[in-house]
Amino acid sequence: MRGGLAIEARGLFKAFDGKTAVDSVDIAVPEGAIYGILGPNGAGKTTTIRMLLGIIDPDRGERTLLGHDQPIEAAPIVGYLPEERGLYPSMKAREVIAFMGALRGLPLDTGRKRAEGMLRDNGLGDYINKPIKSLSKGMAQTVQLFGTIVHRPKLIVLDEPFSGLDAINQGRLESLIRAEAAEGTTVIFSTHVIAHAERLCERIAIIAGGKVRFEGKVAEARDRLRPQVRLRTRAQDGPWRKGLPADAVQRDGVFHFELPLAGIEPLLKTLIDGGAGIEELSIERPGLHDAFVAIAGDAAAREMEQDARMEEAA
Amino acid sequence: MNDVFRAAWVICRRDFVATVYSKTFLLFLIAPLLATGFGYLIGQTTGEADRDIGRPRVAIVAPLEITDALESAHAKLSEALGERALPAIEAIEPGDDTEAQARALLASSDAGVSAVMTGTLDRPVVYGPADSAGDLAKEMALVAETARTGTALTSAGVGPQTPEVEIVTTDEAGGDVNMGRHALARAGQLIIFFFTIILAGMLLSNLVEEKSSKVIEILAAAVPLDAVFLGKIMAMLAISLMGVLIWGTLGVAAVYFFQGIAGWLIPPAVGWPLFILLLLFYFAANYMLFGALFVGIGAQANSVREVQTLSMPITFGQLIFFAIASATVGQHDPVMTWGAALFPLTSPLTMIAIAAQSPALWPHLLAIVWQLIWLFVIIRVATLMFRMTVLKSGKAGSFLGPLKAVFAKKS
Repeated sequence: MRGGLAIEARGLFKAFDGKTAVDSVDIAVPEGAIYGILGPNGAGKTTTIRMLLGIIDPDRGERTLLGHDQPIEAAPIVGYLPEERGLYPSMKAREVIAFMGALRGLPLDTGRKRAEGMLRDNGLGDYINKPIKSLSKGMAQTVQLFGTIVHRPKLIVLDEPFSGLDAINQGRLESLIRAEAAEGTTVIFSTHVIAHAERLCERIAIIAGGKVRFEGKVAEARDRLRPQVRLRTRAQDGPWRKGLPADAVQRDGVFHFELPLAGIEPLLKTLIDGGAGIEELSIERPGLHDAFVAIAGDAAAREMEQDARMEEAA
Repeated sequence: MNDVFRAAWVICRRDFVATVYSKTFLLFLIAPLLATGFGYLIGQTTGEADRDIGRPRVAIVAPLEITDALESAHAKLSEALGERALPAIEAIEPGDDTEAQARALLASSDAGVSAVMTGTLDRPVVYGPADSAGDLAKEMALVAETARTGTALTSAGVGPQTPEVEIVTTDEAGGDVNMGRHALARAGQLIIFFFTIILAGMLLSNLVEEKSSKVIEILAAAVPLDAVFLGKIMAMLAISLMGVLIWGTLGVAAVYFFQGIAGWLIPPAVGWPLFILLLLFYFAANYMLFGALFVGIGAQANSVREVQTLSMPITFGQLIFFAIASATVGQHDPVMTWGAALFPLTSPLTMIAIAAQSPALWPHLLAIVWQLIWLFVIIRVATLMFRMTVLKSGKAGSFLGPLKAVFAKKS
């Protein structure tokens, strides 16, 4: 492995029928990290993941997966949950999990034992010998997730893992991701819900229109925006107003503006000396959503919100 | 075990278990029984009705003593030559004008006769259309001659005498052995063709189902695509061999219980044990060659309808290849036989026929190697097509990649 990176991709390019799907994607996922790929539907997240895993080959660019130039060589230590879930409907839950493990080199007997344990520990003990077609959608997704990790991979790749799960199961999945990462497993997942990435990830890639607009730590993305100041005053006017930054806007009696480069202290002095009568003053660090808007643009953010709403409605 | 084979084994095992425990497999198992039973039933129900279809009927307008003599002679000749060797006859009481009666019978569609015979045994007269009257007249002349001889002998008080033929049995007759081996060659070809066509269809629908259920994405991410193909084809092969084994066992049991059949069977030129082994190999080769082609096609299709459209040319092709291979049975033209043996898609069917007819073993050794080479080529091409079209992969990968993988040392 080079430089402790679980995944390293440089200049990945892929076009389908002459239409560019992914262009010049650079990604570096450190070992043991929880890494999120953010972007609206159709941004190129799944294509990127499929290229990283070797399901499809890039037209240009290079990628290394757990030190292997040929991703399929790393398959025994990788777990993958595709966006479009697929399971054999007539297969029993335990057998599905064991089969998915066996594909990655885990002996069937071991897979069956682990599958039973996983299902029991997660309240699905009654469904061990039930065929997939008799399970609810959420249960089937859980079974597939267990199949993804039954062989205890070093790298787990989840494509839109929260999609289709209710709030409780989303919470469980977040816990599972944290638990896997705590044991040193690298987890990379794609999502169009910023909140998941904000809660879980140390590093992210923001993809929009097939291009990576940002790649790095979540904190770095947020630091791209200046902290936001909210100010409410008793006085509506006075000499103190000349001390406010030029970009300050007033909405519902509250001033909003970026924290001045000189800091808050000079402004405070102006406000106090000018008799503004400070009622409320807060400095907020921008959220990942704000950072996303700033990095990927309003349009991409709106698409993400729309995707999330549609999924919720579904 | 090499990674490709290990993964192929995992996929093969799952597909095998899933299929064997399915209702489809039960149908597959009873398919030959259903086909045989259905064929027998149709044969029985239509046989009686069809017996006289296409067989001309001759009305005999003559006095009773003549029609009796003709009927008796007709029965005797039919017993020796077979019923269909002669036209059917029907006695009709003569009127005042037999010629007018004959013309009226021929003009009537209700009477349904092809010709009418009048006159005496010495001077029979046959009425009928120009295109058929000549042949029918010759056949009726034979009947009349037999009737006349019988009548003459009876009149002389001798009675008809058929000489008794002494039968001396021998172990075999070259002509019968050839006929038996030709029949065996055709039976072998039919078995291979029949099972291949059923199984290739099953394989195809299995792949389409897998594509539509998106499981293929999981497989493609976890194992090399060659392993997916190999595993699926191996599973179907195992399933088919199981079917052949079950039916083979039943066949042997039937031969055992009905001893008469055992005596009737002519052993193949290479002997039974080798013939059965070769039958299994050529079946496997034929199935895998066509299975790989079908899988390649299944990879292009996204629905059962698309599969049907795309697989039609191959199904027609299978029929043509079967016809070509069938035509080589009993052929003395070496160019045609060896041409069919060399062409990969007719090779297994042709070679099983050769095994039934010729004791030489070296052609089979060459054929086995030749067919294995083509198996590799066709499976590889099908995989490349899959990668390029279904997974929308830009590069198809190295053609010899799997071969390198097979022989590569496990790291």
